[in-house]
Amino acid sequence: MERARRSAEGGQAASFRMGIGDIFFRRQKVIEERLAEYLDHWWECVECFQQGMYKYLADGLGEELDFHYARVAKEESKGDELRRSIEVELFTRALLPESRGDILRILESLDLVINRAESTIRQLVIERLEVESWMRPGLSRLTEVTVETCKTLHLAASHLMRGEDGPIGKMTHRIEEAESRCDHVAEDLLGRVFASDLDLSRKLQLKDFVRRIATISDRAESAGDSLHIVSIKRRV
Amino acid sequence: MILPVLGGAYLGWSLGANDASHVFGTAVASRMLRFGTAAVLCSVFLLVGAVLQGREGIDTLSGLTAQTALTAGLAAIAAALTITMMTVLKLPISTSQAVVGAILGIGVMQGELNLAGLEKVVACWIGTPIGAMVLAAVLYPALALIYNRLRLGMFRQDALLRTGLIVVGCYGSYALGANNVANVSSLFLGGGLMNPFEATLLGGGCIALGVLTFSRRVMDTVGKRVIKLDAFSSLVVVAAEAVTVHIYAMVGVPVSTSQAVIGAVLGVGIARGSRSVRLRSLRNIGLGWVLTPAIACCLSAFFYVIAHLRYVG
Repeated sequence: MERARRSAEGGQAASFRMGIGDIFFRRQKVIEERLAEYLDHWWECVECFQQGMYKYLADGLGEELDFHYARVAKEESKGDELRRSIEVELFTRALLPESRGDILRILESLDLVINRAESTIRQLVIERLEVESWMRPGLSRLTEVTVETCKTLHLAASHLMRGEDGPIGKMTHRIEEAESRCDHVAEDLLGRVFASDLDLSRKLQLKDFVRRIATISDRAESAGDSLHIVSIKRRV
Repeated sequence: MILPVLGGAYLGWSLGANDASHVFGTAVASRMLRFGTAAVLCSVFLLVGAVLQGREGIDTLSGLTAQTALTAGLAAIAAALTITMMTVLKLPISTSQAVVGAILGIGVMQGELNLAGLEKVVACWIGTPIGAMVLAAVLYPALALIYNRLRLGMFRQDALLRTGLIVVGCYGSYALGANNVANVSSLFLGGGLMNPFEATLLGGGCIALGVLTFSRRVMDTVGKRVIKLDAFSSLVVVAAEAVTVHIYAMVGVPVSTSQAVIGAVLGVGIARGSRSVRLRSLRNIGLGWVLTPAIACCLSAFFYVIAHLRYVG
């Protein structure tokens, strides 16, 4: 999908290639490529989360959801592997110390986002959670806005890697706005949950689930802030 | 004959061990360049600089006073002791000022001193930290303007800075060799021990030996302190220091690379809008500036008196 599209266009990774510098910056090139690959897996993970949520909201629990959970977990795990390998490369004489710190900070903040996406689908699968039918439109809207924050974050990260840091400020602003919309949708849902006649235990379980989804955009907002700080810091 | 050679060799070794950190400290301490690679690059460029442009400085120092093998040896010991004392006092070490101070002491005792040459040397010493500071303060905004307009990606920016640090490191090594080899070679030349080319080659070799054998820890210490500035500022500091020292190599006056670095750091601070100048840095420059030649001068004069004592029965 996204990865295939990128390959067809020559790929994000290709856009930060060095040409002649490849000979002298081999380690750096490895990190660039792994980072581009990490961003691909990161986005795959978000897409799997989105598909899993929509499937669940449409058809409820079942094999389809288990399949999406397995995909989210696989992409997240692949992302973790890549993140660790980038960290190892970073500490073996590749890049300046400040660039190492910046990349580590970005990686960690991005990782927190997909960790939470994976844990949301896992919660559905493990707790065999059934949501009320009146909650479905709200949850669908929450998923949509959450994915919108992630999409903007992914775009901002790609821009930063390519040096097109001009629009990063605007993107960070868009992430903040989307995160704020997420909060409104989540609060509205929680209000209705606690106003309903459901058991308290059930209310608390649903509250935990809604909060878990909303946290994805919270974390995306923090990651966006990190990207913005790094882009400002890199100007002299 | 052995005295000036040993003294000069020690000075050269100590100079290499200490001053290589000013040009490659950042690159090595940040682990972007292996120490071995940095030391070899530094030694090669240093030797090339010494051979190609070291002669002017040697002529200046040799012209300050007439030297014999004995007086050259005494000056070498006085300069070496001064450097050791300054190291203990943790003040910026200037081999150039120690050597000139020591030669001055001998010249005073012999009653023959080239005052015009001395004036030129002192003027250049004043100009070193000030020149490096002004140059860094001008270079920083100029390079920052170009750097920001390039709009490079994160990785290309990094590659540019890393390449820049290596290039200015090599240039700084060249300038160091061209400027500072005179401190060592002028002692070898004292009393006609060898010809100028041999003296330059041996002097450069001694400095390179210091770089290869003992500069690692100093590079780590200086590099980690300097790198707090950030890579771009470090690049400007090394470039300003290298250009300053190179200009004085062409003028023919050995100057202190430590003082040039301190001046350049202050210049970058001014360019970045730092309102407070570290008084301690200024005090250290001042103290090192006055104490180094003064102590070396007194010591060499004292050694001269001791060497010329005669038993009166």
